[in-house]
Amino acid sequence: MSNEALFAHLPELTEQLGAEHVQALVGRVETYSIEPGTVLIRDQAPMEAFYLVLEGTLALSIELDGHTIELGELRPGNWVGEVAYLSGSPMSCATVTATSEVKLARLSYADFEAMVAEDPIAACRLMHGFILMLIRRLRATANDPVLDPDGQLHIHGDPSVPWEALVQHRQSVLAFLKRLLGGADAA
Amino acid sequence: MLLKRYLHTLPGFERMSEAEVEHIAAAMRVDDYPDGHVFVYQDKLAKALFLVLEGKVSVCRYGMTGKYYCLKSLGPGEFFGLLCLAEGAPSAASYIAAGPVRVAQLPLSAFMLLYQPDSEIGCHFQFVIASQLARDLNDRHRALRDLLARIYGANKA
Repeated sequence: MSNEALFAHLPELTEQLGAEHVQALVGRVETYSIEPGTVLIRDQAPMEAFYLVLEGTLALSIELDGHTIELGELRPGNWVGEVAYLSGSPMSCATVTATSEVKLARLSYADFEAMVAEDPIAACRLMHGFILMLIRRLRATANDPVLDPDGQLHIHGDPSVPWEALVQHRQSVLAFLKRLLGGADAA
Repeated sequence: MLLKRYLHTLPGFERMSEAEVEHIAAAMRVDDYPDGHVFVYQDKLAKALFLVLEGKVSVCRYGMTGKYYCLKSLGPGEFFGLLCLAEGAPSAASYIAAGPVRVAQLPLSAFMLLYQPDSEIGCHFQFVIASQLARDLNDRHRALRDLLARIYGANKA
């Protein structure tokens, strides 16, 4: 059943990676489901894989000795595990908990390295998506934590990049310049 | 210090060829800056990608309540200005020299040529960018854990 979720989102993955490169990813992931409330990753636990959210939502939080700061939710199209891989410190930087039934695709770090060797363009386009997600999460966590009426610390801001934003066609140099110089949004 | 040799030691650059690193080093300009020099102002655009070679650069910002505070200190080997250039959006913080610093900068034009994922050098450069952003996010989460420790008197992370 879990593979159905992967194939249901094949159009987005194909749009993001390119038709000739999507197989490099799809052929390497394993898919599965987790129930609401399941802790997928614990803050500061060792990491060995990336996880792509296919369906459902995951809550991100920072944890220390039972106290937490809620960082927001990740939605389909977003990955977890990229910070541990890219930062050189292979530990999770947050706790990730399912807030609904979640369908995931898991790509081990070893398989990603194999993908880099076999199809560097696929890996590179995936990396571009990671960059967009990292930027979004950095922007969201730039805000100060606030205390809600229930006494829970959380940070305003949406750490999730919409799948449509990840599958946007890469913009031309001219469009990039326009945006950088304060022009209207140009895709 | 030979910039090219130094770049080779930085995270993400291990995937690059000798020629690619040489291209990037050749496009960068190294300068010395005095204490207090502002490289990027909060809410303004960065016009270059900066790499700290020697000294420290403070990352400071005005928060939602108007309070001014410093988030972190950048040291040798750390890039800044990435968020602005990769996103084409204003900086979330100011970057200020904390003492005399030596910084290499990659102009906007060179960055835009490199930040094209379908070229081989651009593809490798994506790893450099992603590595720095991941370290930045890790640092930010560490700071949030420290905040929890200060609030609740818990064991520091």
